[in-house]
Amino acid sequence: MSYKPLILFIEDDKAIRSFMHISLEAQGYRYIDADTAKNGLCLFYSHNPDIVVLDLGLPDSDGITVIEAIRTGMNTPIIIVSARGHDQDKISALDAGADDYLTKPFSVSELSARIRVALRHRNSVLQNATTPITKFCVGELVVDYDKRRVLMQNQDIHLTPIEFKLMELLSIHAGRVLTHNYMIKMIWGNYNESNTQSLRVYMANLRRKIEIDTTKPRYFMTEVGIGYRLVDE
Amino acid sequence: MNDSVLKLTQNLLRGIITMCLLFIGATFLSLFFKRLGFNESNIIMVYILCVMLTAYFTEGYLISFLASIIGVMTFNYFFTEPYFSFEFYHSDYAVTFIFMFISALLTSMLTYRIRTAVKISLERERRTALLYHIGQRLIRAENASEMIDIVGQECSRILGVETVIATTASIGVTACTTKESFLLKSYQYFMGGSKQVDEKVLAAHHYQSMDAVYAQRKTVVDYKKNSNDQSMYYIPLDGQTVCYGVIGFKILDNEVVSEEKEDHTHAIASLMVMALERILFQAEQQKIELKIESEHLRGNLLRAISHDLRTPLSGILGATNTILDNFGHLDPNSMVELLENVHMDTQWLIHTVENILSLTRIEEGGIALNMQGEYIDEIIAEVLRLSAKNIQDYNIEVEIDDNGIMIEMDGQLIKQVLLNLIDNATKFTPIHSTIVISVNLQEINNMAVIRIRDNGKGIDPQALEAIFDRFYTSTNYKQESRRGIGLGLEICKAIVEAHKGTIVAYNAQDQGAVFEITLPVMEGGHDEL
Repeated sequence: MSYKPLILFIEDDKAIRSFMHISLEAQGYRYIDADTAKNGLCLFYSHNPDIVVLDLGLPDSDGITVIEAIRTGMNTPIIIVSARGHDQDKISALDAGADDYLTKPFSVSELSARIRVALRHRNSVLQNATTPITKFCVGELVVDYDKRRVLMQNQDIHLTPIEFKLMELLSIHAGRVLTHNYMIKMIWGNYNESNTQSLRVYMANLRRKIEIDTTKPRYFMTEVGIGYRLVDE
Repeated sequence: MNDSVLKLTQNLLRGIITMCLLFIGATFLSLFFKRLGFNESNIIMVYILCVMLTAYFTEGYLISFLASIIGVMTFNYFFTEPYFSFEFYHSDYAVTFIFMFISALLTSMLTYRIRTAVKISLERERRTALLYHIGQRLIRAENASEMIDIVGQECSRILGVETVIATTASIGVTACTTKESFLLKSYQYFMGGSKQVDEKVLAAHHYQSMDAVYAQRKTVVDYKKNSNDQSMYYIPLDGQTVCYGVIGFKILDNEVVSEEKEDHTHAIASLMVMALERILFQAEQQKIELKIESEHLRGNLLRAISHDLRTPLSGILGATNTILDNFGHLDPNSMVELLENVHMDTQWLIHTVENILSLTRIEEGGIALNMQGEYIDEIIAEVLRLSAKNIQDYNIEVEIDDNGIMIEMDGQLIKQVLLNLIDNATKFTPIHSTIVISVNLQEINNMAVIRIRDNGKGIDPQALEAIFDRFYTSTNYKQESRRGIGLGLEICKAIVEAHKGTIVAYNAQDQGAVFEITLPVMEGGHDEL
């Protein structure tokens, strides 16, 4: 019998918890839930779940503090759930160390897709701790870290150094949303307004070099107002 | 008080000199008359006239009294025997002198009194005219700042005194001078009928006095403290409930403000307060009207929404009830059907709630847009991804003539616009229709034109006018998609206009409806880097 990942769902709405319980268990996950940040953290420390799904609007405390508490010692994947129009909250949660986000209302299939991505990512991180990866492959896109090359349909794509850095950053974190802030910090080291604009321009160029049709992207997903994501499947 | 004594002495001195000159003239004239052999009564008349003239040209009763005595004495000295002495031989002269004195005194007094009365009435007339003039102009004033200018200009021009008007922040006047630490926030200084644009610096104690006048709502006279200083007379602009500020007039250095002046300046102040209150009241009224209007709209919106939400909610309730009550008896097919209905209704509810949220964001006290440069193709990509379920049975074509078009926008809101328009297109056209999304760059005015075109029946020409109005719902819906509170297009319009763009709808020449959005392209936002 295969290992069943344990999901901790921290959400104050009972209806959502109950259907999540049913559907996630039906999909073969083990499930525990909490209705407050405090209970959530208790369960987290006692059960050490494989993944945490966290609602940002909890009654007793800010979701960000929960993320920070978890991130002090663990890198358990955290998927946050929040209402639309709270972009800034999402960005701060992602910057605080959350791995992914979902906007309410969301469907179970969306959530389970994100859970799969997060788990896969976690597993690959666990594996790579011993054997460093040299290549990233998705669809017809190949990023070769050693040779610093990007191949698309086996064709060499010429990238500028910054474009390659972006490609590298996105592919290492494939499947996850990277906020503008985070990307700027990783590429340029410090943040200022003009860098946001530069990031857009570099990303637009990168996309145009790799995507066949930028309006129906296969690899690069733009999360408007939040950041970018490279698909991993 | 030294100054006023000096002034009094000066006046007296000037009066005595005038009197002496007049008497010298009168004496020479009388001597001339005597040489001609004119009767004494003529000479008496000359002296009485002289006393009268003295009274007319000088100030104060003292001089009139003096002039009367001197008149009698000069007459006695020069024209009664023995000449050049104050003695007289005929005893009836005593009577003459007495009557001469009395008539001279009375005439002079009357003359002086009339003169003063004329002067006062002229002054009053001038003040009344000023009040009338200010009143007239204030009626036409449209805002507080204009009013301050009017009062200041007229006072300094017609009264000829330098005027300062200080007001609180509450009346919303942008000040030409602002002293941070004081209660009053705007100080405007007027001189000779015009506002002093560069800061006329009053000594610090004046600002303190003005604050004190404002705080205590009491009149204050602030005398000068040193030679560069000036004395001012401050009156609070005291309204029904609050004080709006202070008006100050320059006064003579040690002037005691007369009751009349006090009344008059207070009249100006109250005129100004009345006008101020009228304007503030008007503004308040407008605000209330606006609020009522928006409450009204909100009410309508709520009614429309509640009404429209009820339908899908009843659907959901009914379907879930049916499933719960008949669980186990229902065949799987009808269960799936019921659940599909619930799903559809929920989808619709979500969409509607998104629209309502966007609308409230747009309407909440102006617009809090989160503007950032976004590439239009990224936005379209995301919109297509989000509406994937909706458009899976349609043929979507995207035509972008320049991938590098960057538009400064609130991405979430523009996304909502495009989602609504695509949703609309799918609602009004049969499945497998073609929906074309195109983006063109208008080089002339640097605008991006986004068109959503379908190949359906087009829009009823009569409906084109009202299509962006709130709650407009077409009667032409496809059979099952019965609803839509008609908020979608209104929201699109509000969002696009908040981005300084335009949105229009028209029917394409060949076939189908076109929604055309024009948005300004960001500076340098279509250059390939």
